Amino acid sequence: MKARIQVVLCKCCTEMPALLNMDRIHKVASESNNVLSVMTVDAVCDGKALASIVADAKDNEIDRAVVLACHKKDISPALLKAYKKAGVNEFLVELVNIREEVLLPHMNTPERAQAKAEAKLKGALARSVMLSPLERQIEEMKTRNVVIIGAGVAGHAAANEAAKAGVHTILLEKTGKTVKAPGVVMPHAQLLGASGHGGNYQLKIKAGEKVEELGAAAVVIATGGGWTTLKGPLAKAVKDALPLYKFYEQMKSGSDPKGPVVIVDTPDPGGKTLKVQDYAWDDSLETAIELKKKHAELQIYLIFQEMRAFGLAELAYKEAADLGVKFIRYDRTGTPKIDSKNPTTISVRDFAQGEIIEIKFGTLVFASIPPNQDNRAIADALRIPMSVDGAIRRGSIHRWPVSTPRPGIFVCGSALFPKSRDLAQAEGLAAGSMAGEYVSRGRIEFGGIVAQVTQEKCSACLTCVRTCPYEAPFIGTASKAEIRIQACQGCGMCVGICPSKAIELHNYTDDQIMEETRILLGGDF
Amino acid sequence: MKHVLVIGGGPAGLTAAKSLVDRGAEVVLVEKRESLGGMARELTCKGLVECRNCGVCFAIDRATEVIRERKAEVLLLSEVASVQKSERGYSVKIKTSPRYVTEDCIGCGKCVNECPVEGKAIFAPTGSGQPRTYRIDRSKCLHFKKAKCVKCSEVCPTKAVDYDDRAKNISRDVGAIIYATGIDPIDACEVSRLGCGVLKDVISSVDAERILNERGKLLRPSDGKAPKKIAVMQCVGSRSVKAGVEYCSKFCCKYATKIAQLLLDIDPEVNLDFYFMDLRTLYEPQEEFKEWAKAKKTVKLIRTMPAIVSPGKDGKLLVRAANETDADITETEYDLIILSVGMKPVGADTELGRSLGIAADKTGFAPGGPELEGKGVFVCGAVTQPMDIEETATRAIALASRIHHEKEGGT
Repeated sequence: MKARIQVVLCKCCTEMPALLNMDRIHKVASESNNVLSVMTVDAVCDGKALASIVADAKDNEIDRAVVLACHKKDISPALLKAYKKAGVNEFLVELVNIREEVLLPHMNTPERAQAKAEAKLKGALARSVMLSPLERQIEEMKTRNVVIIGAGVAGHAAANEAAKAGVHTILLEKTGKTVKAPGVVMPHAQLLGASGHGGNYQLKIKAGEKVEELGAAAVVIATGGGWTTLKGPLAKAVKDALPLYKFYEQMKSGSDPKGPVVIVDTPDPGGKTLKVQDYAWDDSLETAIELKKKHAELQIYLIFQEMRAFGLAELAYKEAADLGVKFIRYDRTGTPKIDSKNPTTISVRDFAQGEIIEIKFGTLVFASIPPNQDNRAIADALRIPMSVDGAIRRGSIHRWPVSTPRPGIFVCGSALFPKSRDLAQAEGLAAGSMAGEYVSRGRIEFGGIVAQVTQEKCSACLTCVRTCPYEAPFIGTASKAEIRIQACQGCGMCVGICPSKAIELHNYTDDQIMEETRILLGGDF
Repeated sequence: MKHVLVIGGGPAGLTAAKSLVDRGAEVVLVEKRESLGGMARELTCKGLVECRNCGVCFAIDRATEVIRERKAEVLLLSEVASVQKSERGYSVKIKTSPRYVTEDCIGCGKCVNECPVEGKAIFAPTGSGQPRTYRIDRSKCLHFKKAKCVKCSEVCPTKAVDYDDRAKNISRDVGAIIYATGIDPIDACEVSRLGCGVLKDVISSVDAERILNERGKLLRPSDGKAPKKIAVMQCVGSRSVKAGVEYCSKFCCKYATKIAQLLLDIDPEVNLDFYFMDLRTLYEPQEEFKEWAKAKKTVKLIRTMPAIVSPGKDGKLLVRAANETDADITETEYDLIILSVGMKPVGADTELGRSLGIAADKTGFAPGGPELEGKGVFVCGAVTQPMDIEETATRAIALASRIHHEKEGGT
């Protein structure tokens, strides 16, 4: 069947005629093949204009359209709704952003603007003819479950906030500690594996001895950091060595520490771990200040590579220094060491003075928070990226904060990097609220511009399976790659990387792109 | 349906407004300047090759979204004149100054070329602020003086200049108030020993970002040549007892390291020395910048605070600084120096704030708190404590969710 195209020229109120010769554009459009009607409207964002577009489309039995206007984001919802009324498939409506791609950059060169606008129109018309109608599909979320991994500060906040949005929260906790939270709390629980896509994940969870399958519409990762203690022979030799949070609990419960107290940021004194470990700055400074205020005579040392006292924690840094807490900075050439023969002395080379300092300690406290070791398994199961040092990597802030590249998976708290209690809580609230909002939509839309495999060409090399960030391609029963369209986000990575050129993106096939490019580069129309 | 007043159109106010609108609330956003975006307007995208997650586009995108939202009423060039406690919340009086340019403006810039006033009386909004509608400064414009000049109006292709625009008084009744007045950069020239304001090629990091945002490259202001050796100095104006700003501004390390990376992306030949006290790159793996600097042969990280900047030979700048480890002093010549300035809160201690019960604590920030939130006043963003755009956005989402659920609870 021959294509029946409607071209709509939006004046963008008054902007387009101010710079462009509308008659010439009108002429180019009406002289092109397959174009049945050309309309000029004051503003496509106006309801009256939309009504006239619909009427015109119905009269001429239009099946596809090219609209010259402004940014997609501005006009697309209302415009597509109107075309739907006129019986035009939404994927056959081609939007050309004249305002931002032609008018604004060529404001002072009207000739170039005119030429570019015409070329873009011709390109869009050429492309429009080659497009095929597509349908978006809707899948109901099978559950309203939000699974939160980790019941620490962030996880707890996320559970509370998500529950307020009316979803069912399931809190997985690795240890057996009692947690008060809305919904279900699963102690001794661990994520073993996951499949599915945003809105309908299928999780495999080990709770106690049982392994069970659980449906989840969204997942919040709040694994927190992993606290360190001594390892190897030193663990036996050094008696009073504690992670910071345990030391803080002891201090709060009223037991006096054996002095002098050394708070150190390395998890492995004398070991090979030279990498800077992140550090609970706010909390260790707060602990030191409280301790010093209680026992003025107690010697307290903070040994660190980088004092990352962010924001107002800087004031605590100064207060601690004023109170007489001693700060010793070292660098990679002089890391702290403890000799197992002399397990009560730590030696470290002071960075500024270059001298080795030996400190006899009563209590050794570890303030370093290396990334949680469970992160690897969770990231692998959910297929989300990790940073170089083993933390979960957040998605681009361009999507929203606390999101990951996969839809429906959110991350918060120290799983990203060690942070203060206050910030972890805020992130938990944000992640919980975003997960709640995501799940309360109740359904996901998918399809449309997605990838498709030409099975005859596929050699089942697994390249696409490994490349896809969304776990969309899989090897089907015919031993050929297939695309799980619910998961496909239409990014085109598999299309580009497939060595057999077996994958195509709907409406962005090689032919369509090449044809449009040929016209844009001044080819024959 | 609850109305929420948002004071301040920066990253915090915009994210909170957008989140609230998404959850069904109606928002009145009051911004005192001519465009939305706040501090982010003057900052640059730091990704030339890849996204560096600086978050500047996040704020600008929210600005364009909020302008388009039907449920969000954006009042630019406006200030809250008074707030009265009413039965169901607050009744607010807002004063809007005239802009003299209507929304028909397409930002072609013809009016600016025609304007006879030195320093131009009609101009575009700062940086990447949204919307892009121009405005006229009445105090400079000749139309409002004896001359009755109408040059900009005559040349405007869309007839967007409207000299009859008047100040408006608007009243709104709202149920909750979000106070997100944000921050201002510290003036680098307050630290006189580093030569800002005296030596042309010493610029603040905010200046550097503004230039990069507008032109895409950074040249020496004195002679317009491309700099070959650049110094970036951290903690100018913050972490300083002398300057009265004892806190750490938190976002400068993150942005300065990203600017350093951007400068190297633009010109890989540039020699860059990075002076710092502590490397506090929030949200980034701590080692990442150090590894990057190690891999680049032309980048040097120096842990010291430079003592003084003085003019050197051939228009260069001479930096005296103590060595990292010993007491020796080195002198190095640079083409360009970027001073990474910190921030100070805006509006933490104002009459309006006090009438709402918002008061600055001893750090100069206004932290807000549950007591205020019970009264329907929510303090948000960098006016509460130093933070960068990403943290601001995170906290604003959390806050919007809190307001939303509080409303449902019937309080």
